[in-house]
Amino acid sequence: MELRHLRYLVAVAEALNFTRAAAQLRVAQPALSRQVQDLEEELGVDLLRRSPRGVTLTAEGKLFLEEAREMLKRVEESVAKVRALARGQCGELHIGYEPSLSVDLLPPALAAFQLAVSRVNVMLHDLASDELYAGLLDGSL
Amino acid sequence: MVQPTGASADGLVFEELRRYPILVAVAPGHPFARLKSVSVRQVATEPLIVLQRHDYSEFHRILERIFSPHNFRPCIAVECDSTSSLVTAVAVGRGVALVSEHFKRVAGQRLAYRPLSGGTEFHRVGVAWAAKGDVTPAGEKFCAALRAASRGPL
Repeated sequence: MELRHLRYLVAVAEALNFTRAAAQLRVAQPALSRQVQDLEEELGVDLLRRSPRGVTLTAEGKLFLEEAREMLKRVEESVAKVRALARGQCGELHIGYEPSLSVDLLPPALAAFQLAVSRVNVMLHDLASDELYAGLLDGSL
Repeated sequence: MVQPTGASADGLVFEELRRYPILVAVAPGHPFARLKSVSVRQVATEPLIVLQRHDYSEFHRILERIFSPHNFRPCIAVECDSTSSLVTAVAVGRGVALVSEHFKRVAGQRLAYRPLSGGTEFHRVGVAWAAKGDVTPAGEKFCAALRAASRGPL
């Protein structure tokens, strides 16, 4: 099962018509039908009742539609999170610092940083110099 | 952080952002408080308050670089586990301390500060990261913010 199977099922379930769903997805209608059939075969249940006037969802189809929507939503959220992390716009940042040095550079830098990327959770660690070296080398900072 | 040197620098990349002169911190009533500056020789005659070597090895390397060219050995009286205890020890007159200029903003008016004459050492402060391993994009942004802050007023 691939994500496209879920997207195709959702499109058909929302349009209740293969032709309209195929047009929305910009795929050929026979290919769309084939993919949904493949999905049903893999699950071993009928998700749709087909008739000349369109399609309706079976009970299994209704349940799986909700699950498919959740899965697709979760995938989209995961992709958005990963992309935000790659852009440095979310995640955690562990900053080690020596307390006596913190009065000068750290406050203005932190203020500017948090203003620019408010979704990054900054964790400050007040450490002695040798603890800083160890933290940098072991990846905890 | 203070620039790591010697073995501490292994595996780290350090980018200097600012450097500060070394000052002699004393209790306001200490005789050194009446001087314009204090020489390394004069400091060597006084009990010295330092941060403990176990956690602040770089601080001790700086002390060695200050004293060794003059063939003096500091008379270490007290090793403190934090800057706040160092401030207290100096303020109550247990000895003097060598600190960098920005330290004045930590200790405030509780201590008096005089320039250290005859020393060429600076307190080099900057940002460091592991040479192996990537700095995250958020880390890069924070480094950029630090660089921008370092270009601001002292």
